[in-house]
Amino acid sequence: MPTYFKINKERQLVISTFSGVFTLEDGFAHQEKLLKDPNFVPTFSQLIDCTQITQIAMGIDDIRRLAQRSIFSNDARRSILVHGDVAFGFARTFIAIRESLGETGIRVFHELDEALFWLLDHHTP
Amino acid sequence: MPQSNRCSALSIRSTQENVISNLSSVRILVVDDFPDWQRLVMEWLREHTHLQVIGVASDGLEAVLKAQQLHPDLILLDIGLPTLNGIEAARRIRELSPNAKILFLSQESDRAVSGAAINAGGHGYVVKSEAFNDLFPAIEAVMLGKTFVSPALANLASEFE
Repeated sequence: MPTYFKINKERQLVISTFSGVFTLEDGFAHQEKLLKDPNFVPTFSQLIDCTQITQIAMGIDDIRRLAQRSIFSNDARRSILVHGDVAFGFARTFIAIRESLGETGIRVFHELDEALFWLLDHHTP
Repeated sequence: MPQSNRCSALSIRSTQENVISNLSSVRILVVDDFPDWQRLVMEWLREHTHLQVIGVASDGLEAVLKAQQLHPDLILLDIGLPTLNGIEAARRIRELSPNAKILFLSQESDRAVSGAAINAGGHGYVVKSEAFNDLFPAIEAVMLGKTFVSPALANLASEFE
């Protein structure tokens, strides 16, 4: 599937975009690419744009495997942006596993402005 | 299963309100015309060993037929279904398989729709967007003879009253 990310160092923000059919391998590959980018910092925030995904070719066991490892800090702010109830459900499942592993700043949203507000709000004094 | 995976499996169940473990085995018919949603719900149900999916249907008439054939304890029923909508399917299922509990699982967050669904014989109503949190408490409530409506829907309704 097409994957893409952009790192905005000034805003300390990673924007990850997925489209098409999303697989476990896509998730792992994205993590590896980010890790290799010299501009990546684990404490940055992340917007995970899943609105162009047409199918999630994963089961809960795959979600569990993907969630076992995070390259972001547990207190980094992360927003998962989705369209539709299925993607929302998978995202909630992913978040539940991540929270059980200590991550505290990850949420799922249907609306871009809400997703961005979650990411940027904690930078506001 | 590796230890870490077992921990995560437990964490999903606890997050989804692991409150139905005292119920005996529940035989479930899943009715939805969207395969991805069917798959997600079945994945969630699989996390609870005493919840057994005994059949799947993709339209209203098939739901009525399978309810009659399989005698499920619980039917998770969508509303926007081909051939026969979920509300009409519920009416027929109530006549043909009166012991089956019906829990609507729909994207509709309109109170009129949920009211019609309950009046048609539904024992509960869960909004799909809230299913991760609400589905398992709803199953417990319905199987204990109570009525369940997603809190988000109830809250939405109260705003307009």
